[in-house]
Amino acid sequence: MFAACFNSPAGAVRKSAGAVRKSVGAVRKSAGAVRKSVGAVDRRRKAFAADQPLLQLPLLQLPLLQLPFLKSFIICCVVVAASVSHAELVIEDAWVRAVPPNSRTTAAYFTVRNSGDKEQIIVRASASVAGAAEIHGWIETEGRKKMVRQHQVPVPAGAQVVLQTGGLHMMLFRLDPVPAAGELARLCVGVAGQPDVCADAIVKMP
Amino acid sequence: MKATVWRPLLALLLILGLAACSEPKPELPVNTRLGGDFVLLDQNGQTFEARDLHGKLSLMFFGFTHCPDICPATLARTVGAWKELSDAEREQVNLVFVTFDPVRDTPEHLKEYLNFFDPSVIGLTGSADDIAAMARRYGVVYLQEAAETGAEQEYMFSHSDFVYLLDQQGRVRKLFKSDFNTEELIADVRSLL
Repeated sequence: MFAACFNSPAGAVRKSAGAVRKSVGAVRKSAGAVRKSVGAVDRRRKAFAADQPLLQLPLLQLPLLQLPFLKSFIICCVVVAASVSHAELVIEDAWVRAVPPNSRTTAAYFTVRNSGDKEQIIVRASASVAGAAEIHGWIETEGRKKMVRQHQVPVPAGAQVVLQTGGLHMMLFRLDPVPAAGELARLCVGVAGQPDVCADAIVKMP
Repeated sequence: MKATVWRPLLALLLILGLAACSEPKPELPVNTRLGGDFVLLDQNGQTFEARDLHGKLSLMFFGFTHCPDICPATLARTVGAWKELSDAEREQVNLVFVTFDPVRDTPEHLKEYLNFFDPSVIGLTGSADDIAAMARRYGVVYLQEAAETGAEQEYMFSHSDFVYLLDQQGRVRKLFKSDFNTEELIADVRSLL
């Protein structure tokens, strides 16, 4: 899809109008596929909205860009760019627990959704407000709850993993400064060999 | 004719219904195995004994301030439930947080930490032995856990996570799991006021 979106239309523009028409036909087919793809990742794109302000720009509203070819081309490029930069994971409903100003730690909670067809394994985490971040879970043994670091968090294909109070959560260490309620924190998780997936999280008292 | 039959019947049902509604809820039993005296320090560095809680109900929770998830969540939930009480009711209920991490949770640290939730929360710390003695009396289990190599904190605690409801004599009347139902907790508090 990447090649179809970038090579064919871009090359066609440089050639004759006839070639462009052929290319337009090809791109329309491609755009059809892309639209299906867009449908499939529509929810993901919505979730990306915070991360991808380009999707919100009035760029596509410009008269010139109302031409089917160019519009399809731009949609195609945006979708591909989003796919490339964010793999198959999306962070949704992210928030950070507001804690006292003398606290050195807090926790962040969110849902990670895998819209792809392969399992993704989260191996790292980070947060803009913390010196370090780790994903932890709880185990209960002999009447005690114990936190255990999760070095790997698998997110099955087409499924989601929820980080919530009393369950999996992202621990944020070395808060500096401690974020106040109402502020935003940037949370990221990463899969080996792929760029981080990030989202803004509101800091709040639940 | 029909009215003659139904009216007494309706009246009877009404009486029975009212009787059922007014039936008092069974009183919360006193837990005779948990609770007892203790002597610790409050967040102002003053000696604080079990009897200092007497005369009011108490909602008591054990934890530590470097706990990022369950402790602040439970504190926030408990304070939130307390704030749903009327002003007059709140006057009759203590909020108490007992740390089992006295090394990091000094009185000064506790004071600033707890002020964030509500300045009226009583923070208790003390020597490790005194805290351990109190925890044993209240059935609190906790264990300092060494962190794995390279971890961000030197140590953490695994611990039980109950919120204790004490009556005006300091007797344990009920334990709530940390994910307690707020309405249930409020109803139980009111049943003892």
